[in-house]
Amino acid sequence: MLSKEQIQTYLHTRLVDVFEVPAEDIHTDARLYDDLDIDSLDAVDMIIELREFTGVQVQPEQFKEVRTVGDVVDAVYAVAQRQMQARTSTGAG
Amino acid sequence: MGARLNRIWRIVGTAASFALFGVGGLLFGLVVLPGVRLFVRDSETRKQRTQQIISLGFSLFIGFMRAVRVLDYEVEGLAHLQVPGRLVVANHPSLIDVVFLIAFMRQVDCVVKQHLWRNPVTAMAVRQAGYISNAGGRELTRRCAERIRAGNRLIIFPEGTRTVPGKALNLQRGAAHIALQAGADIVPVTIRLREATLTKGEPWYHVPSRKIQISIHVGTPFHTQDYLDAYDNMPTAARRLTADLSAYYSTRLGAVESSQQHHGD
Repeated sequence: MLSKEQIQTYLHTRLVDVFEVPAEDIHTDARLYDDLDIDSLDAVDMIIELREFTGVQVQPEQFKEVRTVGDVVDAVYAVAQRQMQARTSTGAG
Repeated sequence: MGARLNRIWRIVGTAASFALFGVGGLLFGLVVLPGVRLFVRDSETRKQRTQQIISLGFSLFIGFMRAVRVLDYEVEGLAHLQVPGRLVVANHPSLIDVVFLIAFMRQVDCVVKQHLWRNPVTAMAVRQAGYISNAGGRELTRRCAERIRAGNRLIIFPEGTRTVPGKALNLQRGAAHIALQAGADIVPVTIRLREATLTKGEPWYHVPSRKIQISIHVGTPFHTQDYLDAYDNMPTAARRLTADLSAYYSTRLGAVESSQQHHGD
C-alpha cells in the first residue's frame, strides 16, 4: 500500500520532469493552475502519469475538485485506499 | 486641411463599411444561409459551401474598404496557407484579423468564441459553417485534431482572445495540443496594424487619424512532428512548442516594431 509520502515524491518528480515546474515552486498548497501552470489539458496526462506509478486510476470527475498539489496526493491516496478495501473485502474467504 | 478632409472621408467610408457589413450580414442570414440549407442536403458539403460564401463575402468586403480608402493591406507568404491539413495560428490585435484570414482561405474551419452560439444574430451562421466553439478542454482538442486530420485547415488564436495592446502575447497551450494530436504543421501568421481599429478596449466607432494599414505575414510552418519525435509526452511537447511559438512572435513583433521606428514611423 502506497504511502502519501511516496505519492508525493513521485508527483514532485513528474511535475518537474514532465510539466516543467520549477522544483522550488512545488509544495502542498501550491495551486496547480494558478501557481504551477498546469491546465485542464494537462489533467488527463497527469492522471495517466499517476496511474503508471501507483496503479491507481483517478477518474476525471474526481480530479475536477483538485486544486493544489496536496489535493492530488489526497485524491490518489483515497482511491488507492478504496481499491485496497475492495480487494480485501472480495478476497475475504 | 487635407488631413482633415481625409479623415472626414474615412469617417464616411467607415460608416459605409459598417453599414455594408450589416446589410451583408442580414442578406447572409435571411437569404443565403437558408438558401444553402435548402439546396445543399449533405452536411459536409453544406459546411463547405457556407464557409466558401463567408470567405467570398469577406474578400469583397475587404475590397470595398480598400476602394473607399478606409484601409490598405499587404500580405506575404500566402502559399503557406493553401496547403491542406494545417493549423493556422495568429496573434489577434483586432476583430478585423479574422476577416482577412478567412478571406485568404476559401474553405477553412475556425475556433470561435462560444458566445457566438448564444448570440441569435451569429448562432445560425457559425453552426452552419461548422465553426468550432472554444468552450472546451479535451473535447475541443479532439474535435479540432479530427478536422485537421481529415484534411481541413483550422484557424485558432492561441491567446483565446484579442491581444491586449502594448502587452506581450499570452499564448495558451491549446493550439499546440491540437497540432500535436493531429500531427499537423503550424502556420504562424503575424498581423500588424498601424493605427488601431476594433482592438480590445477601443470603442468600435473610433476612426483613427490615419488610414488603417494592415500587414499580414505568413511564416514558414513549424514542423510539429519534430516535437512529437523529441518529447515522449504531451505536456512537455506542448510546452516546448508553445514556448517556441512565443519566441517566434516576440522576434517577429519586436523586429517589425524596431524597423518601424527606424523608418521614423
